[in-house]
This record gives sequence, C-alpha cells and structure tokens, in this order.
Amino acid sequence: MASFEEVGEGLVPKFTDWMSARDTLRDIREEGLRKSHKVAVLGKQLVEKYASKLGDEVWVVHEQVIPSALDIGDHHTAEACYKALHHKFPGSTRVKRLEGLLLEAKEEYDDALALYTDILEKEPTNLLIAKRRVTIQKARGETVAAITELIKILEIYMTDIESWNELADLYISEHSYEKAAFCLEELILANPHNYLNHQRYAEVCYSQGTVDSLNASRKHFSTALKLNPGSLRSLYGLHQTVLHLSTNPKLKGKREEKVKNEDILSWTSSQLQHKYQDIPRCSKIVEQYLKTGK
Amino acid sequence: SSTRVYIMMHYSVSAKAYGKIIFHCAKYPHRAVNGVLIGTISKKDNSVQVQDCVPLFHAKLDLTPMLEVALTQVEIYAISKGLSIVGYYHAKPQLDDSSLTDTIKSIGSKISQNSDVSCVLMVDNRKILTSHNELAVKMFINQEQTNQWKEQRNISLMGGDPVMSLLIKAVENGIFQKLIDFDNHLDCVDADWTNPSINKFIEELKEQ
Repeated sequence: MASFEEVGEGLVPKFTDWMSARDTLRDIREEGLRKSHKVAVLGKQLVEKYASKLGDEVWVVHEQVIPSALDIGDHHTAEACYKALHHKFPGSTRVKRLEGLLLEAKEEYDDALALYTDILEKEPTNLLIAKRRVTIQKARGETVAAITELIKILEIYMTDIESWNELADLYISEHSYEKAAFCLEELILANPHNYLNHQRYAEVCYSQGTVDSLNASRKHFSTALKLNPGSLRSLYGLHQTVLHLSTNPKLKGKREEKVKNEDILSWTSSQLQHKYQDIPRCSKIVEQYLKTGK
Repeated sequence: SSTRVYIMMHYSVSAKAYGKIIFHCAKYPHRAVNGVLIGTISKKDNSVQVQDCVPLFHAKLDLTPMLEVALTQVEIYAISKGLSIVGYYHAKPQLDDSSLTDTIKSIGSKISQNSDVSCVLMVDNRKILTSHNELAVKMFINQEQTNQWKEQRNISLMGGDPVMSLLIKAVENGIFQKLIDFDNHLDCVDADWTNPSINKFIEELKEQ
C-alpha cells in the first residue's frame, strides 16, 4: 500500500523556488484567502533566504507571514518577521497591530487589549483595531460583550459589510434569530444581487420556525435560486421550507396555499433528482429523502 | 414511582470514526465543526460501537434547514449499512471551551429520539494531535431520569494507542485535506460525504 508521503502528495505545502513562492503569496494577498499553512511555509523561506530578491515587496510579505505563521503555531517565524518590521518602521501603527496579534496568539489578551486601547486613544477611528477588540472577546467566549462592541462599531461605520456579517453570526450563535435577521436585511439592502445574502437570510428565517418566517424563507430561497440557479443549498432550503409549510396545520385549510406549495414541491423534487442523476450512490439516498415527510 | 437503574454503556470508537473527527478539526482549525456518529448497539454486552461518522458542517452550525436535510440523508445511509445514528460530535473554535450549548443539547436530544442511545462527543481542542494515548474527546450522555447531559469516561479507541499515532501521522502528511463534509457536498454535488477513499486509507493503516 501507498506510504503516507505518497498519499499526502501535494497536500503539504513545499517550497520549490523563490519566484513561484512570491507569485503564490501575491495571488493569496489579492484574493484575501486564508491559506495559512501555505503562506507560512513559502513565506518563511522567502523572508529568511530571498529577502534581497523581493525589493520593496519584502515588507508586505513580512506582514503577510505574521498572521499565517501564528495560525499554524509557528511563533518563532512570526516574532522574527515582527522584529524586522518594527526595526524598519519604528513608529508605525500598522506594525503595532501585528504586535497585538502576537500577544493574542500567546493568549496574553489583557496585554493585547491594553495595546489596542492605547492605539484607539490616539486613533479613535481605527476600524481594524476596534475589530481586534471584538476578536479577543470572541476568543474568550464573551459573546455578549463582542455583540455590544460590534454594535458600537456599526454606529460609526454603518456600511461595514464585514461587521454586519460578523454581528449576524454572533446573534445566530446566541439564538437571537430576529436580531440576526435584521443584520442580514441590512446586507440584502446593501447588495440585493448577492444570492448568498438571500440564502443566509432564508436559513435564519427558517430557523425561527413561525409561519410568517417560513413564508419569508420561501421567498428568499426562491430569490437566491433565481440569482444563482446552481445553488444546491438554496434548492434544498426551498424544498424543506415548502415541505414544512405544506404540512403545517394552520395552512392545510387554505386551498390556494396548498396548490402553490404542491407545485413548488414537485418542482424542487424534480430539480433535485436531476442534480443527482449522474451520481448513483447519492441518487438512491436522495430518492428516499424525497419520499420522507410527505 | 418506578426506579430505573442507569447502566453505564461502554462506547468504543473505530479508527475510521475518530480519524475523521480529527481530520475535520484539522481541516478547519479556526471554525466550529460537527458531525454525526453512526454505529451499532449491543444491549447484551451493554456497549455501543461507533463504527463510522459523517462530518457535517464547518459554518452556520446553528441553523436548521441543512441540518434537517443532512440528518435525514445520514440516517438513510446508516440504515443502508446496517447501522444507526448513535451520537453527535462537535468541536468549538475557542481553544478551551468544550461545554455543551443549548443547540448541541437539542441536536443530541433530537438524535436520541430516533435511536435507543445517544452520546455527544465534544472535542478537547488542547488534546488533538498532542496526546498519543488519550482521546481528544469528552463524552456526554443524556441520562433519562434527569434529562441532564453528564460527562462519562467509559469510552475507548478500537485498536488503541498505535492507531492514534498513525492518525496523527496522517494529519502531519496533510491527508485531512481530502476530507469531505456535508457543507462541501452542498457546494459541489460530486463531493462524497461518505468519504470512501479516506475510509479505505484508514482501514489500510490498521493493517500495517
């Protein structure tokens, strides 16, 4: 049988040459992806052995390596990169934030908070730093405090998409579905053509479980499907929503609703069968799934 | 009132099930992950064999629509293999938090409605990959008389410590990247949440 190394071929990042490492790191920066292991392994070689080849880009790479190295537990490399940046840019707030990350990674949260508070006193509108406070509260499991902090941030930065998304997640984890729904409504208003916003909103409405919220769920799963017909999640969501609506005792009397729901259910069922037709193992399971609940 | 004596059942977890839990955590180290445990119950021996698991989600764990779809399909799959759903696993993103939330309790209870037994395995994040002889999970059982979830230590890994070391080596070689959960399947219908290739890999590991 194959060795571990053979099976794991290509799965563990390996440094090959400085140019492709540099290009890979560039792509990851551009797309804002979280590929910490790859960045840490490739970046470490770049900053330690090929710094002179990178020109001015070397500092951005140092900055990029720090959170990635911390993510995989390589504090040594992160510290080294921070020291180099601190030496080059001694008074920089941008670098000070990285010092905060180092403290957070060591779970020295009080020291990190003190550092961030210090920065905010001099730069009260520094959004990135304000967000670090929320992450510390999250890390400590202080969800309510994190929510309060985020609300304060949103009062100033009303259009910050990341904050609305984060707040929605926090509310969901606290089962405050109505409040989560409000946040997602803001996101839909900001970007009505993004199917993800409608899909997420529909999932939250579904979780609330009332007839009204299920109707909202049906509407938004449908919108998400219109915007992205390939979304399997929205298709299942619509199917489940209508299944619940059609078996709901309150609605059973209303003929119009019954007919509409039956129409939608037969559509979603045939769409699901179609999606799985080329995958025999799955299609058997899906066939049985479609038979349940009726 | 009748008194029911609570008899502690012994849970043994297969390499496949435990391995996939570890792989799921390794693939999404910064997120909460969860999944369903499937296996067999032996009332005669008072034991439960967790033969396999199906990794479910790494995002939006607290929302119900996809969970309902997944549980229905996993149950169908389990029955097709002569198994039943015997529990639920959950790993929290906070390093030191392995406490049960209301959502976790309600999922655990929901699973035990359709099954004779149900346990919740909470991943102990500090122990994953660092311990070669201790399971990185805490088991909680719902005791009928009290309706409380209590921690129980009556759990072991089939194949013991040697299996643990092999699984850790697999993680170090990046093999966890190949793990597919239900979320992956929802993003790409071809992704197989039964994980046949990882199952085969782990089976062959034990034979070495």
